[in-house]
Amino acid sequence: MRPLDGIRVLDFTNHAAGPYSSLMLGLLGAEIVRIESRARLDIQRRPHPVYGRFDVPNFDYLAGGKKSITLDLKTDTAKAIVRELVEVSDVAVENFRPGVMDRLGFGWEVLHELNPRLCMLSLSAYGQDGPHSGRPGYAPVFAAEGGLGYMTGHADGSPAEIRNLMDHQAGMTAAFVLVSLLEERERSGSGSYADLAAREVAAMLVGESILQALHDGSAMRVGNRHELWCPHGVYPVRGEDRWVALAVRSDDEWQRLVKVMADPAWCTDDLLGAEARLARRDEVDARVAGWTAAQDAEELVQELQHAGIAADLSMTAADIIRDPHLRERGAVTTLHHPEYGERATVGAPWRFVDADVAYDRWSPDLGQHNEEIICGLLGHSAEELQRWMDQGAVR
Amino acid sequence: MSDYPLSGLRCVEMSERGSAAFAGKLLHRMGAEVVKVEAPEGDPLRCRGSLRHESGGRTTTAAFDYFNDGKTVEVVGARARLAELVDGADIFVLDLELDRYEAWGLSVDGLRDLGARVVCALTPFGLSGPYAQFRGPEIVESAYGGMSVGIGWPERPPLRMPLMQSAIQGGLVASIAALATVLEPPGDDGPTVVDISETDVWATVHAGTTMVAFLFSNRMRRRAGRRVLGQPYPHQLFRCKDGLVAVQASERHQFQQLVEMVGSPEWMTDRTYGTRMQMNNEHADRIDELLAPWFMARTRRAISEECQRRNIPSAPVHTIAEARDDPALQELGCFETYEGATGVQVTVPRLPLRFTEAGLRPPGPVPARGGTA
Repeated sequence: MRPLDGIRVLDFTNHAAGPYSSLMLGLLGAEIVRIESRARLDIQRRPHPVYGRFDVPNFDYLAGGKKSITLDLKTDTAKAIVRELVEVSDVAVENFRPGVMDRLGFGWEVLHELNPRLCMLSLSAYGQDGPHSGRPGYAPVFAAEGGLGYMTGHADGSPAEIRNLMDHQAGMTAAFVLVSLLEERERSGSGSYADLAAREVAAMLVGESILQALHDGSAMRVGNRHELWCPHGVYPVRGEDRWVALAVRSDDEWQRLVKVMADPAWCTDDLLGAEARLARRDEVDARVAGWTAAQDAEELVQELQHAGIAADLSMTAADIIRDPHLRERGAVTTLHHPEYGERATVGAPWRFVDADVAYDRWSPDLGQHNEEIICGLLGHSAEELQRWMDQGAVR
Repeated sequence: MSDYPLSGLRCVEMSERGSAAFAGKLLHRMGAEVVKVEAPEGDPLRCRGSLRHESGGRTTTAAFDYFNDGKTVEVVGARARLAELVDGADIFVLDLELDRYEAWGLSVDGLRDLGARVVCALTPFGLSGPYAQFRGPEIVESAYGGMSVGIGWPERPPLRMPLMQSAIQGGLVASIAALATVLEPPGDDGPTVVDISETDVWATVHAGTTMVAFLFSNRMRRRAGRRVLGQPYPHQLFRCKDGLVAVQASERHQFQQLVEMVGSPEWMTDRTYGTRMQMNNEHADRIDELLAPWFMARTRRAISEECQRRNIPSAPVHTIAEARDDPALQELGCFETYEGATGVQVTVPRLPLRFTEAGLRPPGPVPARGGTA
């Protein structure tokens, strides 16, 4: 039994942020029905310009465990199928540009009238209304515009590009809103609608900096450093591009680190006290880096952690896949792929003690569940389905 | 219709590392009753977090003020009182490192017996597994979860994500799992314990796509400073007259527009620098040099507006002050002001949630140490 068993989600999303929201609900047990179009393929299904694959890794990840039906939403028949699906669903989620759902005939007012218990969320770049609502948005844009990009980087350098953090943060926030709406429906009996702007999610991630900037204007990049703790950084270890993150959060931990380093002469008593170390941070960092550079990463992490000092390897994808801890917890798991056999993949971000709430199925083929949904769930005949396929409404 | 989406839910939050406090913020502002349990010495985030500030002899941090508005605080010195508070709660969310459980009279095995319908235990490395006892502030979590390795410059160390991103996303994941669980009618199996490792969250939520790409193509994520490798040119931050501007023109039609925008130089389309992948992975520094006169003659705003007009995703890299003053946010009414723990008025982004029916609970003052604002 999973928490969202019995909840059905109509998933009109594409790209990354929207699909991530429904992925989270699916990981909790909801049945996710992707409404797809062969004419306008989800970009995540298209072969990647680099990998050149027929099968797209991101799609496999984001659509894991979902069902797929293929409809031409310009046809009346497909629209009627969607309306029938709305009547038997609990949630609808979409991330088209504002106005598209209305033009398709699936705006909130219409869907709410069809099924008053339906909960719906629209995820867009700048929200459904306002002067910026029509603007396109991609993850790097939100990071740049929202200030998170500016805060990411070394204190003595320029901001760094941070890739796709924003998409999944927006998707997680959407999933949180949707379970909140379901919770509200339990009491009120009625579904409701939420409008989520990714641009505002970006602001949420830097809330403390905005507060500080308004207070005294001091929100600046600090890189790997910490205002109160030293040493606190990512230090080189033996091997090419191998690094260990290490944080000393008290004098007690400092003394334990000194012991692990075998009491080097430079660790004098005048480095006791965080303020003393912070005052000589460049020197401390250089000394620690000089010491770690000769160490084996895995042995060093074990030794430091057993001494009570927070430290771990800066992991690559290859490290993550073979990591025994992540494997044991199910954060990395192995699934049977119909074409490639046993393959590792990432799991769910939670572990329910005594319950199986995890990533357990690959992504669907395009239209793989047409028959199951249209005939099995909605009760149409095989002849009707064939006719609609011949007409191109289901394709 | 109820007042707020989560009206009627009762939650207890115990936070020493921020993630439970962020979960508490989400639940509280959505309408749940949230009791924040603190030791007599207070939540460590009151004074141990980054961006500390002081006023009137009181100390707080920006993160504490941001994560804790409007909550009710109970100062708890004994396990019995903690058990009393948690018993009968819908959600108990805590983020203690495992070696702190004993100090609170808690044990991992005893979490189910506390009497809450769902217990969400956030830890750096989880409640179980070979490294469960490991310690991990944000810098360690970001590194171990596979995020840091791709951020920064190749000749310098990998970078952690700034501020308290581990806490924010850990709090989000805990809130989702907790709410999904309380949707179920209470079963015969008793309370549910959800074990959330913040490093699992990094590894699955954010490093997940990188990892599946590695599995398919053996490609490793590499640090490339202001650009993203493994994408067609350009996917990066460009230097311009007044700072940096982000431009991503991955799609063919976007690149065509970009070429036109910068004056249609032949070398951009005649394969002088190979395919767009080769342009990005092998020749980007040279191409940036060639484009520099065009970019350096224009401001961030002018470039991003021209890009937007051509449907090329682009935005100025804003400082925090600029992000705060961004007209797009101002028009969305994105900020709210309340009294911080030192008694000073503070302004923060409101939660990014808008509903047709029930709204967000209005912000309230941040509780001072001991529970009074």
